[in-house]
Amino acid sequence: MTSPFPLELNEVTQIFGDFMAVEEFSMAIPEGSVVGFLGPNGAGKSTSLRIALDIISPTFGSAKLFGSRPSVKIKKRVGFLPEERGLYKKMTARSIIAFFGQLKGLNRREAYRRSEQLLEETGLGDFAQTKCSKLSKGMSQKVQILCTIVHQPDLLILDEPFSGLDPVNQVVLESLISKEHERGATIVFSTHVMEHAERLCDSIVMMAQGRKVFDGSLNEAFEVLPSSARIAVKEGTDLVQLLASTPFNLERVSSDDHSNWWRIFLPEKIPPDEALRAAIDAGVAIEGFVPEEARLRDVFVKLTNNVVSPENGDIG
Amino acid sequence: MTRNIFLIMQRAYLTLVGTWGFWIGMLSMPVMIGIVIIISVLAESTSGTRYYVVLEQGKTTVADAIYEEISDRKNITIEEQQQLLESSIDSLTDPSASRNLQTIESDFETPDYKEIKSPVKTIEDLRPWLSGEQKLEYRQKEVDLFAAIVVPQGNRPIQYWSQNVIDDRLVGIVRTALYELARKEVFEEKNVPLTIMKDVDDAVRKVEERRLREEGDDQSSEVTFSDRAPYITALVLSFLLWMTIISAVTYLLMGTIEEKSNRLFDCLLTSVRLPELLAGKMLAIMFLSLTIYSVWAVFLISPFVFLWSIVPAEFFPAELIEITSALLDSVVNPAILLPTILCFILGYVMYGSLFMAIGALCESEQDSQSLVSPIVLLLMTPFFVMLSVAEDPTNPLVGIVSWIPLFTPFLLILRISTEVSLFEIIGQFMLMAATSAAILAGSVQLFKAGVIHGLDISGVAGWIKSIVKQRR
Repeated sequence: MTSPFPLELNEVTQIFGDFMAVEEFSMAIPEGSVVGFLGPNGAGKSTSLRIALDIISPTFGSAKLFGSRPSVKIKKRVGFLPEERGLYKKMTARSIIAFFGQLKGLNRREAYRRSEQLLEETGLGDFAQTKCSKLSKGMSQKVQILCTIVHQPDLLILDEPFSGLDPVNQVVLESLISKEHERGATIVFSTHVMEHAERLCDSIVMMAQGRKVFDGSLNEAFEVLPSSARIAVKEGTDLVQLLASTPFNLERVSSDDHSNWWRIFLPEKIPPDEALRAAIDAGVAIEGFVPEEARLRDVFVKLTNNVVSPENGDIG
Repeated sequence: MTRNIFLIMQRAYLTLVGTWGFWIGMLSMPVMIGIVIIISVLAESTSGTRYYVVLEQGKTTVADAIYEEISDRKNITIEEQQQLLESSIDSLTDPSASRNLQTIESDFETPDYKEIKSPVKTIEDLRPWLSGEQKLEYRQKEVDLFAAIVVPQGNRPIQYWSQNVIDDRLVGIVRTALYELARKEVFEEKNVPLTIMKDVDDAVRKVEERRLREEGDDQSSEVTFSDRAPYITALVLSFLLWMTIISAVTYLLMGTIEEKSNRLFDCLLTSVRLPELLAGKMLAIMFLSLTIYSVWAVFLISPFVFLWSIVPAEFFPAELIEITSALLDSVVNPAILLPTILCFILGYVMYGSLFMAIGALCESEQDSQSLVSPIVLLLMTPFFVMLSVAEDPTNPLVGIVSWIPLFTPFLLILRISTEVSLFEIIGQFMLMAATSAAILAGSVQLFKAGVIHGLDISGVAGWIKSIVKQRR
């Protein structure tokens, strides 16, 4: 039986002693999608991913991979990069990638062939025979990622893949993820860096304090926050009075020598140009107009702030 | 499943075999043995001549008796050499033979002692030479004085003076010489011919060691080396198991700590089951131990094989061939081999899983020290028991101690060649198997808690409490 969801979590609860790490959490990752799994530190993301892979058994609920219980056979179709990761220091880069490839079912020759090919493609060809203990941190992280994708998994689960990477290597990793997606892999990755999620994801799942706070497409996420535009008007203009009859809410942002800047909050499905037309119609002396796009970071802060107060959680 | 175990095993094995430490550790043993042999041979050949003086107060025959005894010891007969060879073998099981061996060995090891004329008449005057402040002259070269033997008149004790109080071989020669001298003097005094002692020796009746054989066994009842070979084999095998465990557990511990500190378990556990991971690691270390023993065996056997191939068979003493074949027979004897294999497996599982669980609780080698020490002490107990009862494995205390499952693998092998009842063997195996299973199950849980949930040493008590609470 083929499931349209390579990864499903159903009403999963995980309790460690007296601490509830995950509470009745469900998600279903559609085939072929790239899903960002977002949440503050300690939200329960890593625990949820480990449950999905049957590394830990949930206290309640169940996990499925490709519609089945996550057996070792099924997990051969998955590539997993854990948050806390490392390498066998005495092995060479080439051997360790091949080793993980073989564990995932590749034969020895194919595992070594792909290992060499991946190292070449990522600019590590010259370090194939270098022991992992001699690799730089960035190189080690690349090798760890190559260990995860060497068997060309159908589902790629990456837990904080960008952490610790310099900007150049972050770009390399983004490109690797895109390539894997183009190959047809379903990808789930957790991250704190919203820009990566914005660039790569079709949809996002957000968690805070063990609970799901959002699950939907990127566009749906932006709709959580009202759209806005910034408008500059001449000194002395009573913008509140002029736009009193419109459906727009206003917020004064700043003022300089000649003009005042205001933010116009746009009600749902009203584009910024309608606000501009309404201002012109109301006779506002406009000196500047800038439509503002909602950022995922703001969505993240808003959604997680509803659950996490500054006293009880880091919203990093 | 088998493939995963093989891959885990292969990786761990090849990684360890590929390190310099492994090769240095493995080759150092035969090299060390070689060095010890070379040093002892060199020490013997370079010990040189030791010079002594005899200060006789009046005319005595003591100096002559000592000289005679030294001369006798230098001329060891072929028969004595043969006796030494037989005693070396018998001493493994027979304490009296061991004593006999020591006597003959001391004959071989005696350095060259030479009497030299004393430059002075009294021991007080000899002080500068005895202390090494002055040298004696012997054949136009200066030599050290090793000892002075003062022979007073009458029956007063003879004094042996030497600054070297460790080497007591010369004083032993003096004692033997005085015994022979006294015997000779007493016999002469009583008009007894000196040949009478040889007659006495010849008249002593021989004792033949015999044992009961199974009915239908046409072997003579006389006890031969073949009867003792199984015990020697069992003794060697039990020490071998102990050595395997003490060396293997260290590798298991370090390997697990490396994987935990390098955060590799999450990756591994998405590819293999936990039992596969544990089995692969344990097999790797077992094969590593087998590799070490194989290399040592090659070092040990190859000189003999080489000699066998170039020297005609008739030049080898019949006793040597008999001993070799008796030892080989006992090694492949199913009555010894099968229990030994079982003891190896169960003992290895018991201790190996325990050490892996400890490794899973540690982030570093320092962490492991506090936990490993008590277990190593525990492992030392059967070692000392084996040492103390090596000559008598039928000791009832060994029988009782061997019921302690953690000690059973070593002590059961040791006792297997003796008359152990079938009930005891089966009972101890069952107890050992049950304990191994319990330790393995507990270790798997502890391993899981350590590598998956990050449990460390300080959290073990809380972890046990939570399990008890859950069970209730």
